[in-house]
Amino acid sequence: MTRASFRGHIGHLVQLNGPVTALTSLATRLGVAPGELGSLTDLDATSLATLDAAVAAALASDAKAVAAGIEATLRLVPFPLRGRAAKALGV
Amino acid sequence: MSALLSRVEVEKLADDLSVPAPSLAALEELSVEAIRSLRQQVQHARYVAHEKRLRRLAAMSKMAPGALAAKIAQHALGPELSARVAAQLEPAQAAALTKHVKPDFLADIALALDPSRSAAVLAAIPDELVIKVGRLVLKRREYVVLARFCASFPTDVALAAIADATPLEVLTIGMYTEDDQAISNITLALAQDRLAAMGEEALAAGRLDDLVALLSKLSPAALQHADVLPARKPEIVARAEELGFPDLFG
Repeated sequence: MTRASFRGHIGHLVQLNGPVTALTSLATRLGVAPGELGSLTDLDATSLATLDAAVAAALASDAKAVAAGIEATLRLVPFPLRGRAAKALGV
Repeated sequence: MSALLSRVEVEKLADDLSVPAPSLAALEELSVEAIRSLRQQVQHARYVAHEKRLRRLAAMSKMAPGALAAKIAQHALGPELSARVAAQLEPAQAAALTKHVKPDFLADIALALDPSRSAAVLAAIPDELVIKVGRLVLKRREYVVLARFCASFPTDVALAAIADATPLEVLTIGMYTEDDQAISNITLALAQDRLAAMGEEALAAGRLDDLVALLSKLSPAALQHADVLPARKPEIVARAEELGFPDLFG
């Protein structure tokens, strides 16, 4: 995502969501209670949305990388063993 | 706590999230502890999101011969994923795997490695290789990574890795290092002429605030060792007071 498109994305999110929503969203992404992000309540809606979007992008990027890595790993496993390897990897 | 140190923490968070630091500038209003806690929460969330699959990849690496495991790391997983899988490996196995991959790839892995989850693995890697990889990371100017690196290895290993760092690079690495004891030990081991050069160049480059950030982390003994610019000391002390570090030199 380019810096300009990232800003555009954030602007759109801020229009849709207020600070409370962004905080709740971030807490959900991080797997914590909103109260555990207490100090972030001082931030304005745009800043919270920016942070939430950055975390979301990182998590999405991780998920994509893990899926691609598993797929590529299987391609390197000799064909006769690939079925067992896929099972071991939970594919 | 100083806004200066909060800025440094925000830069590290931005580095973790691969976003420009200015996009997170609003976080600089928070305390250092709050930003550091947020960064740890982000790291933890990213880790647990794929923990099960990473464990499975690690289990597969354990079963594969070393050469195949290395091939999988380099050609299928890539450095970021390999760094996460490495944290799941037995230290001896991870050390054995390093024999099959090039130092350049290990440097790529180092950029993504979480030392808090990989301490046992890092401890199993021979010092010579650690130093070689550290020098490659320095060439890439990855100072946040080097700061983690310096806090994860013995002082002599860290010093050897950054032996070719310029004075301003030493300043940057020190500023980013979270482990105050580690950066104090490194400071004590640095020659005073090198510390003087770092101070002079920091002032010449308009990086007085960064110099104060570094000095504020040092133990009394390290601070005394780093007290090498008597002519510029009043200027440094005055700025330290402005930034919330009264009595910097005691």
